[in-house]
Amino acid sequence: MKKYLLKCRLLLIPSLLGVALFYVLPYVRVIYYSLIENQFSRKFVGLQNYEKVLQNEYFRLALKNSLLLIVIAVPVLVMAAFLLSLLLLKMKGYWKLLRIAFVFPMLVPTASVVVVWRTLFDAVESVWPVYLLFVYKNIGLLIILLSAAFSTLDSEVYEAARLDGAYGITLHRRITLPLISPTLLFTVLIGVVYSFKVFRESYLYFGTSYPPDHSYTLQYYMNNHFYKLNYQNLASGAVMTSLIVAAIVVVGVRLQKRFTI
Amino acid sequence: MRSIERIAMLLGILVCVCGLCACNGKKREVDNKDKEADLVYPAKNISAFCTDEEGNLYACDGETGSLCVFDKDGVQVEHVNIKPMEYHGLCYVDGVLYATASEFVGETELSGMCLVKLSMEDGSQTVLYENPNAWTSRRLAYGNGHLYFLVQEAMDLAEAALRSDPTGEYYYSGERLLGYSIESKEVKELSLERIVAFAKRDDTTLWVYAYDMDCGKYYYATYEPAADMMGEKGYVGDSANVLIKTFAYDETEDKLLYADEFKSAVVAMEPGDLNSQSSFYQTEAGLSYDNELYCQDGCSYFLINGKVHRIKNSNYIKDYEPLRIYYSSHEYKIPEGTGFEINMVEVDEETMAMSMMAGDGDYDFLLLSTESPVAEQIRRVGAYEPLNKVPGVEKYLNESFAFIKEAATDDNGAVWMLPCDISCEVFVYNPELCLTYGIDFEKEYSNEALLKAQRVLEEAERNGNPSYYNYYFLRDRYRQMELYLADYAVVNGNACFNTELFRKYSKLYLDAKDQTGNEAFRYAWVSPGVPVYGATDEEVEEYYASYYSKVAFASMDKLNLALEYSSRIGGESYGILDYDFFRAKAMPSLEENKPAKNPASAFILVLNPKSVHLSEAKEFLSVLTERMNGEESIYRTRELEGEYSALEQKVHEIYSNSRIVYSYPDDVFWDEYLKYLNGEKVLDEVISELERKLNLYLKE
Repeated sequence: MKKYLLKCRLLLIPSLLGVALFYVLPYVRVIYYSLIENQFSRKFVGLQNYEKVLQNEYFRLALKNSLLLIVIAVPVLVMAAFLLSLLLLKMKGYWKLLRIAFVFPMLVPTASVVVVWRTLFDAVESVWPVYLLFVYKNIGLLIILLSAAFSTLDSEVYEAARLDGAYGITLHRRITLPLISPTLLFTVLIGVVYSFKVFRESYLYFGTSYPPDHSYTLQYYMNNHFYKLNYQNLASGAVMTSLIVAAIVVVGVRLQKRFTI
Repeated sequence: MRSIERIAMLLGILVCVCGLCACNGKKREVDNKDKEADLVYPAKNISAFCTDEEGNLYACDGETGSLCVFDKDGVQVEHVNIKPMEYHGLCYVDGVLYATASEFVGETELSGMCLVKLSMEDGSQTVLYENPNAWTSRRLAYGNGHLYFLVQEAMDLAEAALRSDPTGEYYYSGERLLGYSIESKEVKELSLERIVAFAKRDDTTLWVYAYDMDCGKYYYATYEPAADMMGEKGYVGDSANVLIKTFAYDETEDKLLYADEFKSAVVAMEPGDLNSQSSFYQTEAGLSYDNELYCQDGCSYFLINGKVHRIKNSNYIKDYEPLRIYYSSHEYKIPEGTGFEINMVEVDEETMAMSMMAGDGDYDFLLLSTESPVAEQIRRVGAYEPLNKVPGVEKYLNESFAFIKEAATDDNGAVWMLPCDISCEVFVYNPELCLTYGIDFEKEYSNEALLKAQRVLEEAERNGNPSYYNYYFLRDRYRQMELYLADYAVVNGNACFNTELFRKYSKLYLDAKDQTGNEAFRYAWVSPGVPVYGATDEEVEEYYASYYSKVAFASMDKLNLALEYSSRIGGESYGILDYDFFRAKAMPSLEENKPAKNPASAFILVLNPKSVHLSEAKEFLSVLTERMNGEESIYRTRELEGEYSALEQKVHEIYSNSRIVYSYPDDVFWDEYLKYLNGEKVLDEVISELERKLNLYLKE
């Protein structure tokens, strides 16, 4: 057993080295950048950069917009993916091929989608086109995950539930949801993480580093500071963003453990 | 592994690492003190020259039939009268002087060519070889008992086309390399195809520069005439080498030197790596014939405008690793002749920012325009190596306009950049010509007045009474808006576009579009061009005087003032600054009763504090500032010592009263403002959006 465990650990080393080299070390470096005055003087200033960033009204605006994206767009995405997955589950014959269509948005280049979006939503001056774009681009992946989860459900459970008198929404509320809750929570987490990656779509849609206030998110804040060579604000913003995401993931994982049957 | 083995392994690694650290690139101490080797020989109108083993110079003035001999200190020690001919090449061999020459036929024509032996006693000549069909012959070199020279013969055009490259990279003009045996007195053609130039390597070997039709490239190679053997071909990738007509080999430095005609510089390259090139000496004019560059005993000799110059190569050639300069879209031509090999690498702003953030030591300098938004950020974050202690920089800044020094110095007194080139718009006009159109800039001079004047001349052009002018109000909006952004757009830290001034100019821009509603620049500026080939000096002067007398007014930056609208013929320049009927004014400020300093831009060099060649880079800056300090310029030098016309002095005054203005990113201002100018949005909408964006930019 010991030998087996040793082999497993040894096999993990290349992967861990890669993670350390390309993720952990850069992250540590970013934290370091967030604690110094600038790259060149390297004077340690503690949490001053964080204070400055938190006091900045535009950082707070960006934070608010990013959180709104999570609070509004992610539930919409997850709910839409759930309902569509259910619908696809009930389809028979050639209709099953329809599930392939939901994968296409993931394959189409974002720039092409943005061109269409701009034409469709030219007169719309709100953040909704970006939310819809986010949903459109990511729904395919969530449908795949949820469809896979549905396919593992045991039909005997449903039969037993029907025998007990459960139908329709009650069936899904009492049986389906609890059974797929781990996957559902996972899709929520994926949605949250992906919401922080929506910068490319938003940037292409608005075509500027200074979008309308309603769409100015943390990524714009960080990107603009990169071009302003203000790496300290960039690093501080990045660390805070990562902490927010980490907090959401931790809470999500705890909830997942709590509700897992 | 046993502990002793571990220790041994660690020690071994340590030794290897130390060894690698020691091999950090070649560096040679440059002796800059032997500048006494540099001299200009006093003889004029020289067409051919050579040296002997002792460093004496032999120089021919074919027009007057004069052969002078100078010792190595440049003192004339001998003079012989020789037959007046056009002497092309000269070569000294064992006490005997040989020359290739052509006879004069009339004033400007030459007939054929010949190889002659010149007597140093009475100047008589013995013809050894002649070819009445060759109209030029070039460098003369001696090796292995033979005199080698290139002849160019008239030939059938169809045959020439067959031997040329159809892509146009190479055109065959009948060049052949001949060798004359001094002993047997026979001339033999060497079997070298498509040869362009040659130089002596040593007594048995030549360097040849020729064209390879198979791969469509020029190459250098050694060639042993006795064995008819060519060494490995070294292809040169840079297309600039296509223009080589003269090159030489410095045995002492083991460098091939060639003259770049367009850069007016001599470039050294490694024989083993022809793409490793450094321009180490700037000549007064381009060297365009292959007898104009010559090397011996570590010295280079140039024939420039009839005078022979000599320099010691080791004073100028720097044997350092190349310096790398990152530049964005604006490229400034670094002055030639610093001796450093410079690699210019174009990068986008993202790569530039990434390199700075990462502390990348791969680049040595950033070359930017102050119009790039990154420029000011570099100063703000301290992403530079201070240049205060670099020799020459302080002198350079002290001798430049005060505003240049101010812009180059940060709040802590550190010199953060070296401004290499300053430019601002100047308005030049011909008052008398303008008066004929009813335009009087002495009475009325403002942006509106300039627009009115433009309209007057447009109307005059339509009515068949045109003049040349190069001012367009719509084009001038960039300058005007830069002024607005610099002086009016930010009030107490807040963006401010909702002002009468901004609205006034915005309305003017819309009004300035022509009647068709398009933003069309009327092309009323015609470049002077060049006079007819063969025109006399008087005809050339008359040609340009006639052209410039039709120029009513123009707004010009330094490039246009100095170069674009001037032409150089025979060393004389014919530009706007050469005509005293022009007057100059600073471009008008936005408000008539509030004069403002002219906005200027500059190309700047910023030294990377993480550069792995920091000391060489500083030495480069030192050499560069020394070069620039030696050139007085009305566009930069604070106190002028030379003589300048009233117009040049006025331009100098305008430049001295300027200031460096940094720009905002396009997507903060111009992207939105252009929507208004293009009619996509109304002004009120644009104003509120501009204020929002600028506030976001300033405060995020």
